[in-house]
Amino acid sequence: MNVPDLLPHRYPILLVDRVDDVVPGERLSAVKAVTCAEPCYAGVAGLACWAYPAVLLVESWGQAAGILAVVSHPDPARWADQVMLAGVMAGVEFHRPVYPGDVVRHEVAVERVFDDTVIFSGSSTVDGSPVLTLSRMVMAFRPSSVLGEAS
Amino acid sequence: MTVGILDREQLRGRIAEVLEVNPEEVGDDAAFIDDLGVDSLMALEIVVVLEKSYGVKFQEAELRQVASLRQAYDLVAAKLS
Repeated sequence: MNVPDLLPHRYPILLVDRVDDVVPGERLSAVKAVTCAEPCYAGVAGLACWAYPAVLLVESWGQAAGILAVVSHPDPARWADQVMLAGVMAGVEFHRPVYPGDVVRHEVAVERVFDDTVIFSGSSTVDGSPVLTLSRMVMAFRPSSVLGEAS
Repeated sequence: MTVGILDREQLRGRIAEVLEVNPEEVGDDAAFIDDLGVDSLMALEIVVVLEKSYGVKFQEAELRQVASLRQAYDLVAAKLS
């Protein structure tokens, strides 16, 4: 399963490296390896600043969820003109920092599918220890044509 | 989350938790969208929490009926009866 074929994201914001297991409509397991070469570490000096930014960790998990949404749809071509939007996140907890050298494993489960909206839950772990848990992420798919151009 | 017995105050609390407001702000007839500032995605969140809390399933055509605490309570009660 080739990740760039399943997401519109590209360097430096493509934050899923590999999909290990997927059951369309149910669940997905994917990994993201964090390295010192991440663009977010440009200019970092202090050791404390090497914690991987929590917002990028959530973005990475959300991209894994986006892959699950795309492969779950009976007509994947339908997503060609759709923009995936993380509309709501609830019950988001960070359990410990992630550092370069960590391989983050994302586990995503589909909670509910509506017409153009999917609700996910799940977690991320490093070496089996939880680093992130999410009760809900509401992901909406909207045609790119209805999104206004940046002003 | 364990599947619960329908209780109006518990339902009020669960909806308030989703909306991140105090339970007393969720009046019986307060309109989720017009009075409580709920958007379309938050409305779906409410539906999912109700489904998980009470072990019921909403049809897409019913989603618009979940527009206030009273309507949500009546709809869940009808499904449980």
